[in-house]
Amino acid sequence: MAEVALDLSRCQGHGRCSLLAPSVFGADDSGLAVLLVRKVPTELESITEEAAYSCPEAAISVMREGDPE
Amino acid sequence: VTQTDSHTPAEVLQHYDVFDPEQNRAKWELFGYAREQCPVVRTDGNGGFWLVTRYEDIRRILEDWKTFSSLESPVMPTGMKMCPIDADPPEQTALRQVLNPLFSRGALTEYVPTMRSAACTQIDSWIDRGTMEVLTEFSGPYVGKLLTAVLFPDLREDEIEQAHRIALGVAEEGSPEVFGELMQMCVTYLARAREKGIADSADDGVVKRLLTAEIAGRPITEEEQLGALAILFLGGLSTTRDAIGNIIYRTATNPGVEDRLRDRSWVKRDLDEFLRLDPPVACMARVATRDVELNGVLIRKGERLQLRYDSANRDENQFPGADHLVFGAPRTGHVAFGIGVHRCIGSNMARLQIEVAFEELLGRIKNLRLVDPAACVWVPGQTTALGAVNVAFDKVA
Repeated sequence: MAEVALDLSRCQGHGRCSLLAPSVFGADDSGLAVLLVRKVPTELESITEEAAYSCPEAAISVMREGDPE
Repeated sequence: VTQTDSHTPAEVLQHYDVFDPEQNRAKWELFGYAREQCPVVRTDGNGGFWLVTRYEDIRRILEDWKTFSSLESPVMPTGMKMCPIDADPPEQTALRQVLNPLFSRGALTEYVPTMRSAACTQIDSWIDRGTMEVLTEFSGPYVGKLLTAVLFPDLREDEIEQAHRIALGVAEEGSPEVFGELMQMCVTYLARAREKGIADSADDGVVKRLLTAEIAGRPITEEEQLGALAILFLGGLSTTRDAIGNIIYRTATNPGVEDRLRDRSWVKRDLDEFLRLDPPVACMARVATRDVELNGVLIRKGERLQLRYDSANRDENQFPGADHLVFGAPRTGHVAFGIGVHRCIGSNMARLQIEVAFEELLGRIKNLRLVDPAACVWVPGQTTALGAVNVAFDKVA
């Protein structure tokens, strides 16, 4: 289990996250990211991290269970 | 280190000109030298610029539009305003909000069949020959047809050709004449749309949105309509054409790459690495709105900066092994589409077009190899584009 945070003030709507992890991120009408689930099950952790890593604006962070606060 | 006409790189940089063919053939070495020795360097070329070459500096500038404005910024004087690209918030934001929904991946998927048929038409025209030139026989016409379908559904054949010629002219030459032609074309197109009553019609497209938009509480001006149309033309035509050319060039000259592209997940996995290495938009400009220090250099209010995206994307400090394709390594934050408020509006469209183009292409041909490498040189201009990409291939049985 991992927890995702999306900083919408950074999002510019590149759409990388919704392409790489469509079950975790969507896009609104103007193309900005929408967080579909905040707590991500283990099997989706790796695509979620890929989405976070691929965000050109560094707007996504992923905290795995057990990571230090 | 490369020398041009026996001048040292430092001397060449002082007169770097976007439209100088010789300097731009050697631009990777030139900016590589700048990143090491003089990351923010003054050129008297193109009316005078600070060339900014390091990733971290470019990122800082792109994220701070208040200090580094896009107003009056174009690398070459265009003679016209092209909001949103040469505007700042709030006008820029307002116009982007009008246009963004048309360029989401979801909104664009309806054009996939058009993309496929456009790709197939081109492939049919040369597949039996065993060779083709990518830019003029595949990616150029393919992208031109797409842009027409998506943005300007009622352009005539001769107008499409004219649009294409103008876009290339702007990218590679940037003369006042070619901007004048562009302006004239947009005037004609908008006038026709008004006559047809597009503003009151049911179809929700770019032109209707431009004709009816409100910008920060007031109606959009005609100048804004024209400028937006012009920048959509420019942004849509030559960039994706060049990207496909660059990717095919890399594929034809790097063993094993073609096989990677046959795995459909390449678009998610590898496409950004191609765009990082050879970003079609080579540079963008900004203007300092106050005196500001950048990497030890004092930039005065009103001075212009030329952000070298091509150089940032090859900054070793951000991308180890930056001069080569490195697949599978975590690489993030390339600036091929820009970052911050001006990030490319058409990135979804470009990605989708590239995806479909390669699906169709590699479904029909294999064993791509470069022929006539002498013609395959980087051309001058604001783009990272090759003069010609001639390839030979075999048919997929």
